[in-house]
Amino acid sequence: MSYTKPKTMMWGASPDADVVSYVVRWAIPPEVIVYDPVVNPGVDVGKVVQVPLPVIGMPAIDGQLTIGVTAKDDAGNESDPAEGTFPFDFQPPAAPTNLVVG
Amino acid sequence: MRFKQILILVLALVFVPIVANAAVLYQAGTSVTLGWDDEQTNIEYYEVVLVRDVTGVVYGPYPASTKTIVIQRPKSGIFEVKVRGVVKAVWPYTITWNPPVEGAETIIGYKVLVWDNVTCLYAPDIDVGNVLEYVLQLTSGVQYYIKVKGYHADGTETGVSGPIIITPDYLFSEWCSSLDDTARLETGVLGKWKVFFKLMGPTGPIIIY
Repeated sequence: MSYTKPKTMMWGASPDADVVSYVVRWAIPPEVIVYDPVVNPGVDVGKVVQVPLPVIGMPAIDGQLTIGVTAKDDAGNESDPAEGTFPFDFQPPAAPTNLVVG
Repeated sequence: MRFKQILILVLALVFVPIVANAAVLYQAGTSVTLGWDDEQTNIEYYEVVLVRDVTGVVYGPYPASTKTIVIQRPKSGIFEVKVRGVVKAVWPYTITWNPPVEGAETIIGYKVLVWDNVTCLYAPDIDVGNVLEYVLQLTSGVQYYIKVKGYHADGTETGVSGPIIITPDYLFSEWCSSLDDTARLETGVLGKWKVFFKLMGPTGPIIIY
């Protein structure tokens, strides 16, 4: 059974008292993140400031990934994002082969 | 009562070229300055409310003694703005009372005592004669405390009744909305608009570990 070392992503909380949750979106460069909630609803991770990666739906990528986090209020309005591009390796190496006992 | 009013934005705001439901969104910071026109001259004050999209929650009323107001951001979101004029009115109030349980047969008349929270004084007693009701003309926005006492032929008076408290209503104009056809932008161009108070985003960099 392979093992993928988990990562944790954290950000600073919005100072806005109206925040009810945060939304995580991503894109594989050179693509850019689409923040239109109709086109790309992202993943609502609740009112937290850190989440384990990968979040649901995130590709098990070995390479660069751009991630954006927005705050959301009770009416569905979203803030401007905090965004960054990071290297990830969510793919375990191939298993050894030709195991022999002699 | 028909008020003719036109809402305009007064101060320069950051124009955000977004159109939602055929209304231009004006992105405001921590406050928004609003203004309106009104041909009426008998306005006591104005009331401004913000109606939040999606939730429909109404914020305000924010009173304004002039035709402009600065409203602090009540909450994030998109808001329709509405304003209405408020005028004082004089309303007739009929007050009634019962004779005292004891000694009513010797009462020859009643006096009405009126105190209000504007003058903070009792008006001169109103001798209404030997009746059990009286019509008072009361002005909106003023809180009145009204009591009644009886008097006898020899000039002696009964105790006073417990007070009734009345605050007559104001008269209100129709609402004038930022979504009316008469709404206009600060440029003078007619157009429907809403105010957008943006939610503040996450702070600091994203950290992966």
